Amino acid sequence: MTAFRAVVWKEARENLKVAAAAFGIVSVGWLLVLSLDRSVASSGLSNGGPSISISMFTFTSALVALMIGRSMIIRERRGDAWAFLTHRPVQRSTLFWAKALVGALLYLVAAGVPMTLALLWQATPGHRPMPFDWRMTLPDVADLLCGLVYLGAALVVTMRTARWYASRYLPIGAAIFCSTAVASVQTFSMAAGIVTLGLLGIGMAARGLFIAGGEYAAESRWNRAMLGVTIGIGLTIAGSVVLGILNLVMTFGTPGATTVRTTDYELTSDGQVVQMTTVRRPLVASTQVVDVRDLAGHALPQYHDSASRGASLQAGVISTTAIPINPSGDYSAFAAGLGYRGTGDLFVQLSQPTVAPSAVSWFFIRRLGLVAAYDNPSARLIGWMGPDGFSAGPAQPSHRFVGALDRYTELGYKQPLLAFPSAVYRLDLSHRSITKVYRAQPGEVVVGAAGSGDSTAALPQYGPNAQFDAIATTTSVRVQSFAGQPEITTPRDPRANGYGELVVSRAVRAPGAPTVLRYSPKYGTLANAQREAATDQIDMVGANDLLVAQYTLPRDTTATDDGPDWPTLAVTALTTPLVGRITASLYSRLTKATSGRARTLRAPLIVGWTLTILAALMSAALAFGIARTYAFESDRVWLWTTLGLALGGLGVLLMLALIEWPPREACPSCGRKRVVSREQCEHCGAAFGAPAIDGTEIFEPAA
Amino acid sequence: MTSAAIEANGLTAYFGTRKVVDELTMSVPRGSVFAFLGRNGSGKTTTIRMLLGLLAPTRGSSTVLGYDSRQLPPEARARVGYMSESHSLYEWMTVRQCGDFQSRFYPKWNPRVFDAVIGHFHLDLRAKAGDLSRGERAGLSLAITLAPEPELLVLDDPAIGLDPVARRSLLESMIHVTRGANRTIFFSSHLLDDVERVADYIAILDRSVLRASCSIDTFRASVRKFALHYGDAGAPPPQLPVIRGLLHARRSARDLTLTIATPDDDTRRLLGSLGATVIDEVPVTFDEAMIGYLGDRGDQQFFLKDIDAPQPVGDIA
Repeated sequence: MTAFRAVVWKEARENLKVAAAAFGIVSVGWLLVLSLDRSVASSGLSNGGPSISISMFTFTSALVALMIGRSMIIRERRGDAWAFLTHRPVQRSTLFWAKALVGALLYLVAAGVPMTLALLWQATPGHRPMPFDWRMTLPDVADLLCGLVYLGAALVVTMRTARWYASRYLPIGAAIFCSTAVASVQTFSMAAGIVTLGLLGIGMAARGLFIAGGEYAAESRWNRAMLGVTIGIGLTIAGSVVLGILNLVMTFGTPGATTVRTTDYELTSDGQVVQMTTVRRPLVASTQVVDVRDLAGHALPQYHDSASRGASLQAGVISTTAIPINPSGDYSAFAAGLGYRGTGDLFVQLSQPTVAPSAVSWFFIRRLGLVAAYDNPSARLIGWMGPDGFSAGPAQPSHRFVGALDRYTELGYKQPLLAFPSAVYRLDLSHRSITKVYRAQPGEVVVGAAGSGDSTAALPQYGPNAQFDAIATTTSVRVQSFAGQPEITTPRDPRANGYGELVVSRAVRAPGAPTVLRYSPKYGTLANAQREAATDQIDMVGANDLLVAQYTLPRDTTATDDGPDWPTLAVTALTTPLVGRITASLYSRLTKATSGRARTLRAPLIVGWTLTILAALMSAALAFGIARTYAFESDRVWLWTTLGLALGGLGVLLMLALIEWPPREACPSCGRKRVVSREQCEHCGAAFGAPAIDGTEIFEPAA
Repeated sequence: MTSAAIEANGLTAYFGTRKVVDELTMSVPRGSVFAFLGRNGSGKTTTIRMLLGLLAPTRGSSTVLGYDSRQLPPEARARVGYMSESHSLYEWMTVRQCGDFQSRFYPKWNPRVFDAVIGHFHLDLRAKAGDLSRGERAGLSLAITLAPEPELLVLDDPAIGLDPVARRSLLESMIHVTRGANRTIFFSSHLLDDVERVADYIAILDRSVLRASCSIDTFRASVRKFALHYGDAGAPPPQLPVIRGLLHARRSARDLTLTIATPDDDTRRLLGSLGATVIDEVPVTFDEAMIGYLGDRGDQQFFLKDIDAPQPVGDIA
């Protein structure tokens, strides 16, 4: 323990300057973020919206972790300094743990202290015009912890004797992978689990390398395996980047680049539901409607020329945003800002006023069931909105909204709808007032609501029909005017049982201004097989709740293209590991996730599998050949052959990047090339002979 | 327990495709002062690092105090003191901190030895290691190497770059502390008079190949120098045949001087057949013997050729 403490003291003292520099970098990062945040928030533009998954701290914490990790090793990595460090009566693992502990502590202080101060600043009233909840610190805490994986990666990078210069840095890819995973998962516990796994793997790799003096060959089997996993993940990340660039080149750099054709079903300004095909070309933002047909697939003569397919095609078609209609549906994939990295589970920003300096930011706080109002310039709470109206000051009104707010609540409107299970309210943010626009009838529960939006008010040519609210309950769909006057009340379409979304559209210029209710199975509760077979259902409703027409749209209305993209398919197939392809195939069979269309495309499937298997066999043969050439023991020959087969080119690249390759020279006995690291020739079994004698030798037995 | 402090068997190291140590096999007796000699780049430091388990050999094996070099346990390292040629120290530590820090690792740290060596080099305990002169660094490095009272002391060119006084201090300290306790010293050096003064045994690496490993007396006795004189009227020195063990040859118009390792009766008969009027066996100093042994056998000739341009000079080895 005395030795351990001595090394801890020495490491802390030696790396203090780097830690101070790291502290400076992180602090500057936070200052930039806070000053930008302050200026943006004071104008009320985007404060409190869903947090982005990756922040400045994600980068600065990773950067300083790499700096500190490198600093822990680099001075003592080679030659006499390494000897001075390690030639002591102490286990190398003790030296490693002392270094790792100090590195981790210095990193946590250098990155964690500025982070804590910044979060404390944000939590202090008057600094940000938005609510603060300590759970909002979890993304930064996750990034801070993830930095430890970067620290481990830096230890591996600095310790490892790498064959290729570029391959030295591959372990950072594993840390990037970890960061990506941490930013992608929904809960903090999952993020912590990922960090733990990452630390375990990369920590074992770093410890093993330290004990072995950076030499792969001197490592234990488990440490080699962990190093292999680390390098393998790094290679995968690097390969993905290369393939991504290649794909971009193939997509945009090839004459006659691929155009994406999309066929969908839309309401036209004359009130018809039509099949509409659009084309989008790479690097061109706008899409062009190229074909309009009726639902039977017949071309519609009135849309035969491009002029008729222009802007007027859907003029006067007003739609709501998607409305959730299934109380048991899983909308987490849709709703932005949910999960531990977002604020969607804590509050919803109802307003994003663009007019400074008098703008007020409004937030529905889920925990309180109240809407909070913040003055943007002063960043202070100025009052609360409850079901009974606005009350100024910090005191919360006693009467609160009951139940959970609809997940799809529209953002950024001056008069947003708030849908709760028992009622729907319209907020007038400009006048700080609230109106209950719908009360749930006995036996029904409101599941979602959406309006046609503020913008329609600015379009007087569309008339009052353009301003409507759609409210979905467990039994019916109600369309009403902004003032709350009922226009349509229609039962939920039984064909759409288990569906998850509804969009209400109205063709205000068409005779009778028909309203279209389009149900989608997305996010619903249908079983996988049913969801795959399910198609969008459309009800067209006219005056007096009259059901004018019902349509069942053909299956798969999503993007189609001109056919298989063979070059991309070939590159993908050749670079996809066989084990990955088999796993994906099994998974899709188990979950029946493969779309009907994908299953019908047999040719690309067969070509893809053939190329993948071919690449796997070639890689296995290559790995086998290399292993034999370098005289691996038989178990290692088969291990690398198997990895070549399972991982394809990745397996061979991993082999080349991971192993230190000894030189080969001619055996004086049999004349064939043999590796110099074996005691005997792998071909003839002859041992290496003593160097040639020139007669000047003087040897005598030692006393 | 083996009687050898160090044993190497077929120790070989490659850096990339370059072989830097070639099948080195040798034994260092316990209680001896063993000098490990060779020119720069001959593989001495690499060998020492392999012996101490600081570098994995490409093939071959070695033991230190009976332990496999590749897996030296802490208790073995406690018994082996190592001082590198660069006198590695933590620059920011003071002399006192260096001693305190190092003492935490060793069960047998002797502060009196540390203080004695520090005193011998007149080091200020408050001085930072980074501010010390090269000789002072060597003194501090030696102090922290000797204080644990190691059974085996491995010194990689400890006196390199030191002035004569510092060199002498270093040698005296080293010998004083270790000689009386029947400890083993294994050191590499280029300073041949130091080697002659203190070493019992030597081993010589020549371009990564071990060419000699013997007692210093055996070495002295084995390297001989012969002066072959050709009379004024006779024929000049002839072209030399292959002479086993020939280290160096220098010819002038009427003389031929040959340095030969382990000459035997056959060698002498061969010399007798070269037509010289007189053959003298010239006394050879250790320094000369070593230079003859280690010398790049064209170097001296190159300088002589420049100086003695009119003389027909040749170099045969």
